[in-house]
Amino acid sequence: MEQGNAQVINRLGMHARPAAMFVSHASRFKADVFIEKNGLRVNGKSIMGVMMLAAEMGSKLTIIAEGEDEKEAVATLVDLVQTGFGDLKNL
Amino acid sequence: MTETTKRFILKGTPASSGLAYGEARVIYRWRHAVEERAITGAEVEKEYSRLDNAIARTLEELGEYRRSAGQKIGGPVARIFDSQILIASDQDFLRKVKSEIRKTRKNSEYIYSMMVEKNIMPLRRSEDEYMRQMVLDIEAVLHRVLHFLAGESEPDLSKFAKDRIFVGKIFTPAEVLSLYECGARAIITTGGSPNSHMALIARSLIIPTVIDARRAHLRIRSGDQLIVDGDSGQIIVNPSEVEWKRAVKASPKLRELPLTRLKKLPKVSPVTKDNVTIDVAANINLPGPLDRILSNHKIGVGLYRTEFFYLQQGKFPSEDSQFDIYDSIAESYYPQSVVIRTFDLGSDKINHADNYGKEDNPALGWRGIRITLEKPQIFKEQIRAILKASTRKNVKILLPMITDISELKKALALIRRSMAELKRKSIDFDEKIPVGIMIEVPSAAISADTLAGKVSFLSIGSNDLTQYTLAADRDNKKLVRIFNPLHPAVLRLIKMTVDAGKKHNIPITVCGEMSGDALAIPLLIGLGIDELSMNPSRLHNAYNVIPRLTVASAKKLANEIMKLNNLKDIEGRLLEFNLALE
Repeated sequence: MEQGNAQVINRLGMHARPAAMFVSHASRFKADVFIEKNGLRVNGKSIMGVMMLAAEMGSKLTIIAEGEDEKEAVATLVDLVQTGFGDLKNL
Repeated sequence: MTETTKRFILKGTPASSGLAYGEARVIYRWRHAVEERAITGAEVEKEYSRLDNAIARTLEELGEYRRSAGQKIGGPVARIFDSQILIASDQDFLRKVKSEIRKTRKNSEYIYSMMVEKNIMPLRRSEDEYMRQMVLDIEAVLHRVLHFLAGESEPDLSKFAKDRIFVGKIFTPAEVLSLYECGARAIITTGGSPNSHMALIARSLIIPTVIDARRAHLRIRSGDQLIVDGDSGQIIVNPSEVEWKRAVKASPKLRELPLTRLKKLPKVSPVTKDNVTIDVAANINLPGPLDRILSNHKIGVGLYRTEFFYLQQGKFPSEDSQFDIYDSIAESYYPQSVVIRTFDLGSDKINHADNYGKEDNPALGWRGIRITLEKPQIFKEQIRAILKASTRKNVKILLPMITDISELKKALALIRRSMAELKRKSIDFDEKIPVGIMIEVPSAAISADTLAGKVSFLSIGSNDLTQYTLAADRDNKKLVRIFNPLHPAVLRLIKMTVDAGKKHNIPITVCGEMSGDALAIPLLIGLGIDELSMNPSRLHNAYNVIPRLTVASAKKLANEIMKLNNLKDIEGRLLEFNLALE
């Protein structure tokens, strides 16, 4: 099991587009992926789940992965969140 | 007229340009109440299979639509279906639904609907337009899954009468594709929004479309005659004989579909009676079936609006994905030229997540070149992508919303820096790539003389220029009579711009709706406009009018018009001129 922390920095949080991006990336890994926010855990490969998390700006998330490529998964996904979903320039 | 065929007018929001007339076909969506059924323990596995099967078939269908859109329209539009594919592929959600089915011993239709509704209810009221589009996508998937669960036979859209104007409460992008196959002349919906996926697909297929027409699907009946104006958003239901005749006479070619009409255009640029070739070009939003057709007719792109890539993805696209698109467009149109305008977004369109809060006045706010100059990384990425696509030497750069020479200087400096960056990496590009500016605000027109000295061409955005000059929002239904590019003040600004262009020996284009207006075309030619760029659905107007006039008579007309001081006289004289053309 591997985990890492990330903070949401996008102004409108993790809605529609970032959620879809997260799920797309997470789904590429073999490991199971979860996101935890304030004790609530959702499946990181589920678009319905991630959207419901409604992680607003400033939320502290824990990204958890379990499986073969868990280290790579956590590293990639934490980076994704920390950089505002690949759009550092859009912050 | 009988009671059942009473004439009335509906006003909606224009979503896709063009005029159409024909017979209405109203499509009602069959939304039955979802049945709630108790099941036995033994039946649970069967419910699971039913659900799996329905989802598999939904995914298969979505894959088909995506492939079909990819073939008929192009990559970026096909990706519109990705969102629904992502939703239908959600295994975790499916597991939760199955678990609930086992727990409650209820049927899959009921549990699936219930859980979807629970998830999306709080999202419906989101301020974020992208979230609202996601809700539409989730609902679309839900309805297809329910449809397959019901095992019903499809009302085969392809068996619908061809050649109609289709009316519905709302259509999904997939349905628009199907309607296109049915030869839809126009599409009308009661709901919808101008930048929705459905509107984008309709525009890429140049099907005149009006959305947000109150209760249209209830007030219009199948069989009603309609005249639909995709530019003003006006729908005349059961028009009078006079109105119908006028529509038919004004555009006899409208009998055909826009794409067919385009294919029948002459394969050379239009030439006036006194043998002057007038350059005619198209305004384009996204790659599509139009590109090959226009190119075959020697028609280039006078305005390539790049905002679509942003709107479609909800973020500024990467340099590489931009290069792919720009390069393929440059190739499609070669040797005609392609004018690519850098991102012209405002707070009304930009994703709120990209850090631009709501403005009271987006039209007068943070938009166009202002945004991209503040984000030089994004600007240079786009410029580099355009430069890399310019190797065939048929690409030009156009800068939007320039109000001041300092903005222009900054932008030109960034362009030079981008060129230097590419040179250092030994990447090939057109070193002499023409750079021009939009003249769409009064300050730019008034100081066109100063600006013209620094650029290779000018492009007049008559829609916005009219809006800012007359202080009238072009989408404001109350101001329809005030908003008019033929207003003498606007014409004077156009003339100032032309004079500046002539003085510096650079070409001037008009790329607003005006350039496709049969009445305005002679005036613009007479004023000295070098190129008319218009929505492809209007091209037939240019080909119709130009061969029937002489530049000499157009110049004389322009001189007369510039002496008139009110709209009524101007329109009157233009109409007179038009009617006198043989």
